[in-house]
Order: sequence, then C-alpha cells, then structure tokens
Amino acid sequence: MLTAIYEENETAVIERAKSGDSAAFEQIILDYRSRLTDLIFHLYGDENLAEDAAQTAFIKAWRHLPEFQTGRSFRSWLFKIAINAAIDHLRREKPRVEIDAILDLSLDEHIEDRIEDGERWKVIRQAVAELPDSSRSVLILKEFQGLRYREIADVLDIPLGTVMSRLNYARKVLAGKLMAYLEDV
Amino acid sequence: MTDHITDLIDLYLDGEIGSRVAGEIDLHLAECAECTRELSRRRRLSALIRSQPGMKSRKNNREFTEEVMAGITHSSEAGYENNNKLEIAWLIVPVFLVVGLAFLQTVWVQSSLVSYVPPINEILDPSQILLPFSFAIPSTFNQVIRLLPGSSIWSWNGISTGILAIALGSLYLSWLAGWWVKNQNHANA
Repeated sequence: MLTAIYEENETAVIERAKSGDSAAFEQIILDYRSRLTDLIFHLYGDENLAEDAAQTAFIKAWRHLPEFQTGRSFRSWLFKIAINAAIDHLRREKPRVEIDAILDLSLDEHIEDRIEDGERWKVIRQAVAELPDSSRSVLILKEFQGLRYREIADVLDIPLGTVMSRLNYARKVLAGKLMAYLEDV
Repeated sequence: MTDHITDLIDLYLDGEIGSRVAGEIDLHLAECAECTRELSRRRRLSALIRSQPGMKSRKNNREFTEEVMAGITHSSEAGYENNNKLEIAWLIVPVFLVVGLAFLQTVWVQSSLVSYVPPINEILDPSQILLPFSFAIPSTFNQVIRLLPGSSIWSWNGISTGILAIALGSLYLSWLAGWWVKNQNHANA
C-alpha cells in the first residue's frame, strides 16, 4: 500500500519534472541520490567516481526527461543512465585505480573505524569485486537495489534468462567463497 | 514433485514466480531437507551481502543538488554553443562550393560571350567611324580555358554540372548534419 502511494507520488513528481519544474527534479535528486552513488560505489568501488557519475547521470536525466515514457520503470531508466555515466567517466579517467587499492582506501576511511568486524566487510567486498563484471552488475542491482529481474534486464540490455543465469552464478561463487561467514548471519 | 528445485531457488527467493508454482515449491521444501538447507544458505548469503554499508558521501544533499543544477545550466549553455559552431562549420563547405560555382559560371559565360563577339572592325565600318587602328577584344578567360587539357564547351559544362551536383549534395548533407547535431543527445539517452 505504502509502495503504491509512493509510486503514485513519484509519477506525479516525474511528470512535473518532465514539464520543466526544477523543484520537482530536485526532489528526484534527493530521492535517488544515495541509491545512485551506492550503485556505482558497489559496482566500481570508487567514491569519487560514484559522486561524479551520479551527478552526470542526473544532468543527463534532466536533459532527456521529456523522452522518458510514463509507465516504464523510472529507477531502471535512471540506473541505466548512471551505469553508462560511470563507464564514460572510467574511460576518460585512465589509468584506473586498482580495485585492491580502492577497497583498502574505502575501508580505511569509512568502514573500519565504525564497524568492529571490518575484516569481514573487506572479505565480502573483495569476493564481490572479484566476480566478473557481468555477474557483479546483476548481483548488485538485485541485492542492493532490489530490482526485479525484468528491470535488471532493461538496465543491462540483456535477456531475462541471462539475468537468471548470471545471478545464479554469482550467488554460487559467493556462497563458496563466503562459506565461513554464512553461519554467522 | 520429487526432484530437487535447485534451478528454481533463486526465483523463489526473489519472489519472481507465480503463486501456484510457489505453492508447489512450499510443498517440496516441507519434504526435502537438502533444498531447504540450500534455500536457507541463499537467504543468509543475500542478507550478508545486503548488510554491507553504503557509501558515505563527503557532500551533503544541498551541495550535491546545487552542483547538479549548476551542471544542468552549464551543460545546456555549452551544448547550445557547440551545436551552433558545428552547424556553422558544416555550412561553410557547401556555401563555399556554391559561391565558387557561381563565380566560375559567371566567368565562363562572360568569356564565352566575349569570344564569340567578332572584332569591332567587322561590326563597324571603318569608313564611317575613323579609328586610328582596328582591334579585337581579347577573350582571355576563353583562351585560358582552351589551354586546359580536354577542354571544350561540353567538357566544361560537365565539370560545372558536377560541381553544382556536389554543391547541392553538400548543402543537403549539411542540413542533415545540422539536424543530427541538434538531436544527437536524444539518441544517447
């Protein structure tokens, strides 16, 4: 019920933004900002990239908002723009920072200080980071963003069956690597 | 249902199957310890992954939003300027071709006319008008053209027609390019 009300409100806000209401678009930014930055951060492990790509994604989204078809999944549309923006940023900002360095840096700055079992987070994130890009994207869109399979297929431009197989593969690999931690949850 | 439901576990876990199949899986799980264990393991894995903290941003919401809105203003202005420059650049070549063609055609027509005009002493009777000497107007351009290899009125016409076709084609292409430049961002959405 609450979800339906939220979606109805969101549709109204999107319609206002489509007609050029910048205040409505600012509301969209506030609603989706952390989801976009988290998505990019979990995909690529780089905080600066996450911030920059999210901002670029919102700018592109504003420019192309009139083309967004009401009735489609707005979050899928926005996530797709964000992932493309992140890929564009990565192409421009060569050489890319090594994933190990990113993980260590992120843990040092934000996580280890606040979480007692920082080593566990490091292992989990390392295991996720070591997945192939294609499987990692599907897993993150499912687990962190809670997208439906159909939405994931739309975001990544892949068939529904591929979403299932990649998700299954990612979970199997992670279950094997993180077996020691699964008993503690 | 006697076989294991390994292939359906993800669908069941993620709520991606219909209620009828879900009911059948429930029945199977009530009897199959192995599938129940696998389902439980997948649930714990999902919980473990989801329990990871998100990113802590250095910017607050206001700063972030202001930067985005500033970026929107800047990008629309920059895009407008770039589009104008690109459109002008695409127009320069065909316009140059058309102007060049007009110039060459004018020169050719004038030189042809001049070359066919008989010497003035053939038009006018020298006995009627006392001229100190008789002369013919030189058709310089025509002579130059005649020096070109393979030149004739017909070949020159062919060249000028070719230039005209290229010029008109370029104008059409430039119009297409201008349209594309204006709409290119839409295609990248």
